[in-house]
Amino acid sequence: QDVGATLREKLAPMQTLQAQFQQTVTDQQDELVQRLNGTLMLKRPNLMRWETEAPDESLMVADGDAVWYFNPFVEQVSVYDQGDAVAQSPLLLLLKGEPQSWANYRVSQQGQSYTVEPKAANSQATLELVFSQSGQLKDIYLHEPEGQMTHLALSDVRMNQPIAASQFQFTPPEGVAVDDQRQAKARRE
Amino acid sequence: CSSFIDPSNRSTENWIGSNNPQAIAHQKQLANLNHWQAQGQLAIINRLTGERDGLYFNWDSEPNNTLITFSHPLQGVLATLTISPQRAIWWDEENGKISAPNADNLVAGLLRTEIPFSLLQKAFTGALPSGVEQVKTYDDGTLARATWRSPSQQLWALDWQAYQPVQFAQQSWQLPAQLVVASEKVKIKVRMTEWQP
Repeated sequence: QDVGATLREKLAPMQTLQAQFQQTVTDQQDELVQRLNGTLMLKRPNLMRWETEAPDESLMVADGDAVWYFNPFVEQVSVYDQGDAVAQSPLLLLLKGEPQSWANYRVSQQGQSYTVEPKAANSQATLELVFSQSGQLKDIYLHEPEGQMTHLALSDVRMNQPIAASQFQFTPPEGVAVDDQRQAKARRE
Repeated sequence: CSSFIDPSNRSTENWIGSNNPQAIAHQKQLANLNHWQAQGQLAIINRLTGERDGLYFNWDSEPNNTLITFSHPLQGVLATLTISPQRAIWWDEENGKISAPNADNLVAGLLRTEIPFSLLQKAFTGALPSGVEQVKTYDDGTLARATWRSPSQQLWALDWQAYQPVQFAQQSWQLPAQLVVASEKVKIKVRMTEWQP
């Protein structure tokens, strides 16, 4: 059985996941350039909520059709097709159970660590998932082609507990600019 | 003072000058701040088109070299800008490395938006930038507002809207927490969430 199937099997029991995270971004010299704390929620088949705390609040919601990225400091929400968004942020790949969604990725394993690498050369980040001995997801890494890295250290991980549908819905607040990238893309085609 | 920006709600009456010892003391303290690092967010708002962009930054400044790393929470590092007295070097995935004598012109050409990095660099710590006018301070002596004219004669208004106490070298420093720099075309909001002087 290929490693991709092993990884999907490991992820299969996860119908929902909730966790606190500390996210750090480091540059090519391993210098810390960004640190955020927040909450991650996932729900099969394709729902996700990633929210960071004050003073750097920002929110990403994947509602199955679109991905909403809201930044209160900029007073703007950007909207993307969820299909495109997977290309933008492989985090959304976690939810994909069907083999064909993983066809564009090469999966390798080292102990409890699984690396999910895009087959297309230097296109986007390589995803690395690290599980605890008990099989619980505990670290997510995004390795950029130039050497930068985003690391989500998960804590207080809870699996398969009910999550309200409203957590995966988003309505732009009054007065916020909407940067709808779906329309921009439709106009380009 | 210019009306480009909505001023903070703190009272400001004091003009900087010999009769403002607190301002003089604050500026004297800041003069000793040679190497500092700050993390936070930039919001760049085009006032003509309404277009907006948000960037997280890590601003690492030494007397003759500043490295600014721009990142996005979901896309990692996006670009870097290195500024030295002789040269500015920009890097991003799409353009690779681009250099020019001046950071402001380099970025204006790339992002088609005028961002006065030379002014931001000076105003970042609350130190009095050279060449500013109509300077006002808060009661505690920290800078509140000022105006500055760029080499291309663009008028910029500076508004240090909030400060935060930062402990460093056995001293308490009042360093900016939010700064707004605006011209008629562009409004730049800067929020400093973490200081490592």
